[in-house]
Amino acid sequence: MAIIFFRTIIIFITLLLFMRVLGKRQLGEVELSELVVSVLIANLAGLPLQDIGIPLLNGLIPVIILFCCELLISTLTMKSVRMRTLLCGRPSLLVENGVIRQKEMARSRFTIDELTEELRNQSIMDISTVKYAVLETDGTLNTILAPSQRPATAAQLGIQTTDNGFPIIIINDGHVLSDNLRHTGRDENWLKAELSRHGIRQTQDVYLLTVDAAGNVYFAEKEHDS
Amino acid sequence: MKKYWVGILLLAGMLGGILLHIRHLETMIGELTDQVDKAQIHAEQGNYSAAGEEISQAMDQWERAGHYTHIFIRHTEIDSTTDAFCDLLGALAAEDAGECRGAFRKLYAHLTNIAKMERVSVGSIF
Repeated sequence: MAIIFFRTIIIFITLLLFMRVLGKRQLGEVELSELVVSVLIANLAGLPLQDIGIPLLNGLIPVIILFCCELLISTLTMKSVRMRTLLCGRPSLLVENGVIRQKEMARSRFTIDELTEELRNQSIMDISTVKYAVLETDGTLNTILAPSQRPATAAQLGIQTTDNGFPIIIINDGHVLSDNLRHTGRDENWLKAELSRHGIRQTQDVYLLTVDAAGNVYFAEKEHDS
Repeated sequence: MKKYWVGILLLAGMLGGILLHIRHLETMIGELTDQVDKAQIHAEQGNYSAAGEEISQAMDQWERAGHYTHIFIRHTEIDSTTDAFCDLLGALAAEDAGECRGAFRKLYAHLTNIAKMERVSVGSIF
């Protein structure tokens, strides 16, 4: 049992490190090669955990090799369009000007049910309102509505808007993020004044405090166990 | 591009390490087989005690390499080979020529299988 304990920790740390290097893309939508690597890694890493008679290296070496292959493939696909097309495929235009391109649907092995489901996911009920629907290489369907169906923007309506910028977290669950505070051009005195304005004495009583570029402050007091 | 070269270097390093491991394993198995050969000659001449001594030395060498073999070789193969050594020592102690022939053959088979398992060939890959 102790062997399994140590092996699990080693495999966990190794996979964590490698997935970290491979990047955030692994966590969301994945390309074909990334999916292959993820599935294989999950299986291979489990082998020495299930059977302690198999040396740990028999699980680690394939994981490292797959990691290297993925590094090489991701670099090659980034540098070469031809390689990218070969390994990741090309996006498929499934709907154009409200018309379903049936040959492209068949080539992508995408059924009409899947298409309507994806469109419903994006709150599109009428295919004729779709200008373009593109099946991306990672399997997501991106749609662009016909110009007459797109929501009007503030610019189109001639409405003046203000940009308040991105709200920056100053206090996160009682902890003051000093770097963020400096980044907003404020100091401890401003924070103290802000806290006393909300009747708070110590930062530990604050759950969340953010401030945006326009100076708007969002404040949430921490709920205490009654 | 840095990650690309890290990938290339890691792959090259691992391939080099694997080739070194195969070479080391074949040398070790070669030395063990030589000792078993000598023991077999002694046993065929009826000198069972000398044969037993050779096999004991070979088994010591095999067990000394335990750290290395347990990291690189399936543990079932290691256990089977150790069993084959023990069976041969038992047969030599019993001074039974027929049993010794079988036990020698079994030990040879296990040792050569370990070397063969790691050898790269079309057959082993597919």
